[in-house]
Amino acid sequence: MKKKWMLLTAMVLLVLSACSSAGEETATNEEAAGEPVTITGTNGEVKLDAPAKKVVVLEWTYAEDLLAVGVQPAGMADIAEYGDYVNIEPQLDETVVDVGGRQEPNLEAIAAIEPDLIIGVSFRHDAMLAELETIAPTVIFNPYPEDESIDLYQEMETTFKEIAKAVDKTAEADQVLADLEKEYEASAAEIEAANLKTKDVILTLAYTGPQAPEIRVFTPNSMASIILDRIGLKNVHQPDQFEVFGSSTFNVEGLVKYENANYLYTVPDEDNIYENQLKGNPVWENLAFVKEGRTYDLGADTWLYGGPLSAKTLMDQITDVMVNQ
Amino acid sequence: MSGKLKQKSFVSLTGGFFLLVALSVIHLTQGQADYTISELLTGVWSDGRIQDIVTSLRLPRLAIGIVAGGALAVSGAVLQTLTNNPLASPGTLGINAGAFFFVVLSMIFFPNVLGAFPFITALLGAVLSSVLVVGLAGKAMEPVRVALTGMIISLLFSSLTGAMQLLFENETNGLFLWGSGTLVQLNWEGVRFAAPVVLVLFIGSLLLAKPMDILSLGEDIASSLGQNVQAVKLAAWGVAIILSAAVVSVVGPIGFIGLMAPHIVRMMGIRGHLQIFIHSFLWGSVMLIGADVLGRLIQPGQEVPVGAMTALIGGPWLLYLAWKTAKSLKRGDRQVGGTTKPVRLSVLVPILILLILGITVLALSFNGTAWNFAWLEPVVWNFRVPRVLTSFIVGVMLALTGVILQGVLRNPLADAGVLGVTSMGGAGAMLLLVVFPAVPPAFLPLGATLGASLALGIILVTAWKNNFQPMLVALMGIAISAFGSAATQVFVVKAKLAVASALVWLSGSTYAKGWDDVQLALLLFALFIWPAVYITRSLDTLTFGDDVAAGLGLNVRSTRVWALVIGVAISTAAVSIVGTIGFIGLVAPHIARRIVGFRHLPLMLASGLIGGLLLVTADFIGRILIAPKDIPSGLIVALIGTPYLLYLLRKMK
Repeated sequence: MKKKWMLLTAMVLLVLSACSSAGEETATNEEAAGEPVTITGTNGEVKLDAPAKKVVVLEWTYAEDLLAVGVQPAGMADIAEYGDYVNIEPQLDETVVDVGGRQEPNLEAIAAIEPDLIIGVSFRHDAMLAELETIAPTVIFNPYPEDESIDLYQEMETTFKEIAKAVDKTAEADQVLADLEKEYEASAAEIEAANLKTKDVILTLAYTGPQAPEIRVFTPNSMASIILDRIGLKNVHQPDQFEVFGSSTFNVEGLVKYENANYLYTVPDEDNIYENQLKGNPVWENLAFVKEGRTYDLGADTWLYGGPLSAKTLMDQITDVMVNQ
Repeated sequence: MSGKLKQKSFVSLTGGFFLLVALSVIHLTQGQADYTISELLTGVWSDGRIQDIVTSLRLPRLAIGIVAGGALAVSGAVLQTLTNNPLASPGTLGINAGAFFFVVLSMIFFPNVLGAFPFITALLGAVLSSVLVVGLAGKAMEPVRVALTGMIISLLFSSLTGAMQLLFENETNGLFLWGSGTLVQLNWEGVRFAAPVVLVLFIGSLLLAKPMDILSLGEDIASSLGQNVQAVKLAAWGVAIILSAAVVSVVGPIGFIGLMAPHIVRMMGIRGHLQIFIHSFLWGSVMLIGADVLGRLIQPGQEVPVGAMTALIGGPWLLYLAWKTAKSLKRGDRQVGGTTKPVRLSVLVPILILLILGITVLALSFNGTAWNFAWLEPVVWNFRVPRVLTSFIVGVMLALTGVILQGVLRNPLADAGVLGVTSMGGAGAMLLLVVFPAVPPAFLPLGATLGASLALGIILVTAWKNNFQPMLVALMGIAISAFGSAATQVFVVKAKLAVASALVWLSGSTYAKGWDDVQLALLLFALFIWPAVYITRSLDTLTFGDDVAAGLGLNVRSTRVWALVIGVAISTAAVSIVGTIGFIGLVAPHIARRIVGFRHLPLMLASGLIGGLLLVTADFIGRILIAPKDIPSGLIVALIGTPYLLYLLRKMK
């Protein structure tokens, strides 16, 4: 009996060790032309022999960065849900391949695309970096750095430029950012002219928590808040502690501090806490911004975490609702 | 009531009352809008902001805390008598987990129904899980068995909940916090709903006090005194279940109150169910409000889930309780069982190998959408082949742990999950993330190893004196496991982790395993298989019982220590490769035992193969079911393993 067992183990060991010593080959595409590029992510410098043509993106924001410079990703994760949360032009092509979920993307599906570059996000994809790198050069970004001194708008711009560099669209990216700056100025002028009672604002995103709404109030280091700055508004929320994701979570009571500011919000259509839970609540209804009609709905699909295109959408929405209301 | 009891009762009631009042006052001053006490005192009497805030936000929160704490405590007190089990509570019996799972489920699929009937949803879950526990644990309601069954049901429902949260990441965003219970209220609706239900049932429990006094004398005596035992039991179960379901539907699952409050009351010398219920209610409220006050003191202006606070306090308490309980228990050896007509290995092994080959070929050839028989192609060779191999080896290792731990504890329900090793491993890894947020994921196993060693250490230290009496070890394990999972939850909230990544790791995943992992798995396997095989002989001797084994010249204590160490080492090795995958260690040895009998060497061989087969299958199913998306195989294992386990529990009378 014991012999049999040992024999079996030995056999398995033998077979497996034979397997593992075999080489790993990765197909390389030599046809792509162009100068070599080097881009930098949280995983260090990533060298590409030529600008990437086929890019697989594993997080929504980076897909958006590609779209902003006119490149459709070859593959992308969680395509179906992306549409529910992100509303930007240009839209995603029908031909973009779904490579599974953002958390555990399908490695074989990615490999089947034979991409030149894979873009991931550190809090999800650090763990599988080695596997991704066997498919193609992989760059990882971190939209939520632990370093408090980095504001999230800078981070967005840096990442956007790196991604643009990878697909040889640096000029386009600079153009997008320059256009954005101009539009900020235009918006700022419009808002200045609108003669608002106050330029103080808080920006929120809310959803139903247990029994009571949870309201994310964006902190000054968030990308969305810096856009507010650029168009001449002032985010009055000062968090007690560093918020790595760029927002503090409040309930209604917490809003009292900021009732003299304007209230900017986005809320999902199917979970509209303002029409459901908060309607009739005396604390909410007596907040100055509610009583004086200074609440501004930015629409359900304004993505507050995206890249330059989401930034533009956000800016347009804010200007639109604040000037025309 | 004797004079002494009267005096104790008076002390407990007045003491508890004043404590509750004091805590309530502090509770009312806490909130995100910073008002000073004098502002509150002057502002609250006239119409205006402060009055609105106090009456529509802070008072409901206080009220729901009092109601929920009391309800949970009474529910726990009832359950402890019913199951004659000092460790029973809505949390440990899986009732909270079942109710919460149903809430999550309807949140995702029928969001409108949940809004309208949260209580019904939670109640369905609570009833289902308690029916399962009672049905499976058997009429005898033997404490350890009940506790283990409750634990397994909890495991099942929490892995299902985890799966849902993972697959519907955006829909369930706010639920992770609720998963540890929170008292936040927006208006009186929650109180208006829960208070009458709780009040009625509380009165119900008081009416049941007398019959339960009689019942606690023993069923035989009770029925000879003319009591309708079945009716009383049914009514009491109803009271306990509905109480906890009502609480979960409003504030989420809050553990440990139902466990601690009745004990504190008993420790103060309160006797008789009428008294116990009244005092439990009071002290339950005191504890829950106290926990909420404490949570908001720690992080002012932020929500620390109150359930996490109760868990932090309650975990060590449960440990102490388990230790005390076990000391008073008679030595409870269980027959681990197994068929008496074993199938010959020369028949079984080829069949198993054929099955394994079959599923392996299938797993290597199909990716969920397309067949591909060119296994040496880089795509398959780099990703699919190592993944399948790692799954197999890890599956074997997990099954081996199960065999060893069940053998040494002489308990058919033991495995690394039940011993608390797995959940402490998870907690250790999460703690590492909290303390060093920048730590690369490759270091998580280090934290897991530390956590698992701590769990083992606690078991070794506490059980040493009792000669590793199986019951004690199992009870300690349950306590540690409850503490570990509570701590994990706190850490995930505290670390502000992206919840999805934490959930994946915690539910175990064979995703993205490469050749490095195969090598590591093989190395660890080669390292551990020899001590595992070596210990089988001693385990065989142990099956005859401690006395016989000692008579045969076996050093029972050192055998237990070594077997525990080996078992935990193997399971930690497995966790370090794939995260926390439960159930295989529990199920594989059972299947094997029914085929090859209870001798440990053949048992090890058979369950190892079955374990490997199971994990490869789970990995395959997880990969193809919603391709190109992936379901973590730990969750699939739970889905495949639990029904079998439940069937087994049912059969093992």
